[in-house]
Amino acid sequence: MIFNVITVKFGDKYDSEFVNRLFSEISYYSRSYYTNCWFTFYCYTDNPEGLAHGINVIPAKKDPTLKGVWNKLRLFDPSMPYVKEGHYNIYLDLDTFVQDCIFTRLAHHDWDTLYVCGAPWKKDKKRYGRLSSYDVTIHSSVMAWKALSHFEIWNHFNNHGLRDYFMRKYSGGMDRFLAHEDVKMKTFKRDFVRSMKYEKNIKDAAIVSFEELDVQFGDLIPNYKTKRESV
Amino acid sequence: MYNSEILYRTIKLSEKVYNESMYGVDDLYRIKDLSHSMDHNHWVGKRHLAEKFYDLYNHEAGKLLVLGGWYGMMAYQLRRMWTQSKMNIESTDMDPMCQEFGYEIFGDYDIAFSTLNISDSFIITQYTGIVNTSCEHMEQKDIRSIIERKNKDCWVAFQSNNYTDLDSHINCYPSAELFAESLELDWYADVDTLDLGDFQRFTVIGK
Repeated sequence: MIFNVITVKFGDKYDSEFVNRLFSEISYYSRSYYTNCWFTFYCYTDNPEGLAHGINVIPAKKDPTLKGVWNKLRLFDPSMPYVKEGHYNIYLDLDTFVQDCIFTRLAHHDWDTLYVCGAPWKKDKKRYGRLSSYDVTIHSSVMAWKALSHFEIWNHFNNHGLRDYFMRKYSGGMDRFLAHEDVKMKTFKRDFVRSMKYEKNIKDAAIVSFEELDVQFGDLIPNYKTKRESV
Repeated sequence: MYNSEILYRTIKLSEKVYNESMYGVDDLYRIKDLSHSMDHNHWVGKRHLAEKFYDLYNHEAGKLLVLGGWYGMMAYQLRRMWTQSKMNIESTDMDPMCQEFGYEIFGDYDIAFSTLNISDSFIITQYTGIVNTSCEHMEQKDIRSIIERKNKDCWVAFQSNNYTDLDSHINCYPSAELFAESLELDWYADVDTLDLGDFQRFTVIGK
């Protein structure tokens, strides 16, 4: 079982330090996986400058050219280099930090389904028993899926003449696209990813997300401060 | 400037989209998209191109292709200028709903609507003029490919803008001159800038 840890860096919102920090955290908390090369770390980016040795760069693809967050949807493009038999993908936003071995925490994970993060604090905005609000109850700060699957997401976005329409309709992010276009998803167990903004007890989480926070590099808690004793 | 019949049809079409969302496909954003397609900026920008192009083209017959034609506003503005059927006008868009809604709004204006992706292969040499007011949404290589494949005498009337804030605007330019330069036409009949307040719309007409 080979894991692909994937990050996406486009534009100048986050610099390479954010990617390098995630690579360091994951390598540190998953030392046996790092030592045995059981995971490969990728960064899909329009600017690889400053990325640390050991990070595999996936250069920005064109045709179509995408802007900002829409580049995340390209992770489901079957032409991506990590699409291989026996490989398993874990995607992390750059405003997350890792404080446990993410691979052992996913030991009994159901890899046949796309997993995203739940956002239960948004649930009360749902109206009329149907998905009418753009404020969807999932977010894609962290995702996990089998590398050879879920190409239909990219296909649906890109190949039916509606790409431009989707970008207008779901302006602001792919979470709305995933939720409203009926992509089959499940959400991680609550203690796998926790929200820095909405959840108080973040110490038991493998990953902490800064979703909806305007994060600077220094805001990300140094890993030694929240390191779990079991690691 | 506005045509009340067209605005009325757009309102009724919005009602139809809402009804469909109640019992079938839930896509209420189409209502907003239809409303946007009738924005003042679109009436002004497309009418501006149609009037200039009509003067420069200087013939009553031919075959015009509109690329990225959305729900048909550009084709309608062309038909306003070329009122006779000897000018064939075809409006295309990659979004298949544009064909259906184009006929709903502009069905009696002698415009042929179809679904076409600019990167698809099609017989481009049949057209005497190609109009594209959506260059900001399209890959530069696809735009260049259209210019390279067209007949030498075929007109092009293209628009882009400097409105970079939208995710779907992937091919904007800071000035009309740079936009014109990027097209690498053999001959330029007109290059101009229309100030629309929040942004500028650039028009290039030539061959």
